[in-house]
Amino acid sequence: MKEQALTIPTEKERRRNRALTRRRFLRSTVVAAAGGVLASCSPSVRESFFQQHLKELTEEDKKRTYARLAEEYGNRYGGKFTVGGEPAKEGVLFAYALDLSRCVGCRRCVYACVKENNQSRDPAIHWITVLQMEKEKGVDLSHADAYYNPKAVPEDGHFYMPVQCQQCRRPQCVEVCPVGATWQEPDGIVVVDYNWCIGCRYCMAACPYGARHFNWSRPEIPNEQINHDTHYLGNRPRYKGVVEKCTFCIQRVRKGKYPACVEICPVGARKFGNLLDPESEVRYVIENKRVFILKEEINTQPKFYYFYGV
Amino acid sequence: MLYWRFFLGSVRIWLKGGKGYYSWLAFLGACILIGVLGYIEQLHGGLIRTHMRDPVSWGFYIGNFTFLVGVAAAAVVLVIPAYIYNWKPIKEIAIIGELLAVSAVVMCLLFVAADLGRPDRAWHLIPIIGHLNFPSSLLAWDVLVLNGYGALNFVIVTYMIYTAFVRKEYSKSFVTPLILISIPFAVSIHTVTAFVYNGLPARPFWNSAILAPRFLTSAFCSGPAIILVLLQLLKKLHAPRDQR
Repeated sequence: MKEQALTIPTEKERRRNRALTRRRFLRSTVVAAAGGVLASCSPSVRESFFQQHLKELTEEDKKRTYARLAEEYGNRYGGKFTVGGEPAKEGVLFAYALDLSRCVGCRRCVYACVKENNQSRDPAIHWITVLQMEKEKGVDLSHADAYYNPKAVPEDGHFYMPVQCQQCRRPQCVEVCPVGATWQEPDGIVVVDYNWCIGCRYCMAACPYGARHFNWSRPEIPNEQINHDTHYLGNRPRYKGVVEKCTFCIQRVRKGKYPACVEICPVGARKFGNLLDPESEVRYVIENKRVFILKEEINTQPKFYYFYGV
Repeated sequence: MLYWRFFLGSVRIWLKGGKGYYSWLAFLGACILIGVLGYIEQLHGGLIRTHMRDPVSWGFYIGNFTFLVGVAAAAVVLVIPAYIYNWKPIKEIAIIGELLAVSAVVMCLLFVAADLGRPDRAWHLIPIIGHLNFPSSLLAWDVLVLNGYGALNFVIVTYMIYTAFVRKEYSKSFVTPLILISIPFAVSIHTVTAFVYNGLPARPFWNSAILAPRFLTSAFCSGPAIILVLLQLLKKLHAPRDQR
C-alpha cells in the first residue's frame, strides 16, 4: 500500500481500490450490524439462539444447557427449577391402556396433566381431550363432543373416551418434521425439543389424533402453580411459537413413577406399564381383555390401547 | 463496473414513470407497510393474532402459499415453447413469465416464513448448519425445490435482462441447460407441494392421489391466466394513444 502511494495510480488501479474499499466497507457494516444485534442481547439469549440440535450436543453441553434453562425459568417464574435429562432405560417400552367401560368423563386427568406438565393456562392448552360419545353409536369420532359441559357426569346414554398422544410406533409427526425437532426415544416416548422446533405445525397436520398443541402466544402460568421438577424433553416451560405434546410424563415415568393422569383417575380407568415386562398391568390387559387402538387403518401402530374391562 | 451500471440503470428505469405509476407504487408501498406492521404485531403477540387454533392450524398463509406455487408455474408454460422450440414471438413474454415466477416464489417463501412460529430458528432448515430432515419430511423437499426454482429463475431472468441491457445476444450454451433444469423443478414445486398435503393419512380429504396432477393442471391455468391479465393491462397502458 505504501509503495503504491508513492507512484501515481492508474485509472484501473484506482477503480480497483475504490471497489476494494467499498467491499471492505460493506463487509464491516454487515459484521458490525450482526455483532451489534448479538452483543445487545444477553449471553443466555445468544446461547439459546445458537444452541445446536440436542442429539449433537455432548454430555457436558447438555448439562450446561440444562443449567442455563433452569436459571432462565427461575428468573421468570421464581423458585428453584431442576431441568433433568434422564435417559431411557434398557428393556423398557412404555405403553398405556384405558378402560372405556370405567371412564366417567370427569376430566380430572386433563387438569392433573395441565398442573404436572406446566401447560399454558392462558391461552389454555390441554394435552388430553375427553370425547363424549353416544352409547348407541359406539366409538364414532364423527359424533364425538369434545366440549360437553353438563352439571354432572356421566350423562345417561353416553360414554367417554379420553384421547391424548398415542405414542405411535410409526409416528407420522416425527416423519414430517422438517428439522428433526421431534423423535421417538428408545423407550417409545415421542418427544419434542422445544429449543429446536421452528413452529411450522406440519406435525399437527400429520397427527391423526389431534395430540399436538401449539403455543399460539406466550404461555402464561401463575408463578405459584408452576411445577419446578422438570425434564428437558417433557414438562419444562415452553416458549411462544413451539409445538408440545403428551410425553407419558417423561419426568415421572423415567424415575419409576406413574404418569399424573394415571395417579389422579378416580375410577382406575387408566393403566400404565412396561410392554416388555410380562408381569406388567398393560400386558395383562392386552392378553386378557378386548383391546383396540384408535384409527387402526392408518397404520400408526399406537402404544395406547383402549379396552372394555367389564 | 458494467454490473453496477446495469443495477443503477435498472433502478433508474424502475423509478421513471408518470403520475399513475407513482400512485400505483404508493398503493403497493402502503400495502407492504400494512403487512409489515401486521407482521410486527404477530411477532410480538404470537400467531394467536391470526385467530388460528389447534383444530385449524394452517390457514390463509399456507393457502396463499399453495396458490402462489401454482402461479409460479407460469414461467415453465412459456419457457418450453420459447427456448426449447425457439419460437420467437413468445420469447419476450417468457421473460415476463420468469419475472412472475421469481416474484411468486419470493411471495411463497415469505408466506411460509410468516407462518413460522419461530422465524428466528429458520436457520435450522439449512442443511449442515441446521438439521434438514431430508428425505423423510416432504416439507424439507419443498424447501429445496422452492429455493432451487426461485434461484434458477432469478439467474436466468437476470441474465436475460442483463444481455438486453448491454445489447448483446445471450449465450445459448449458458441459458439452455439452466432452462432444461428449471422445467423439472417447475413440475416438482407443484407435485412436492401436493405431496406435503396428500402424504398425510391423518387428513382424509387431502390424502388423495389426484392432488398432485390436480395442482399441476390448475397451476397451468392460473399462471398463464395472470400473465394474460397482465399483458392486457400492459397493452392498454403502454400502447400508443391512437391504438388504445
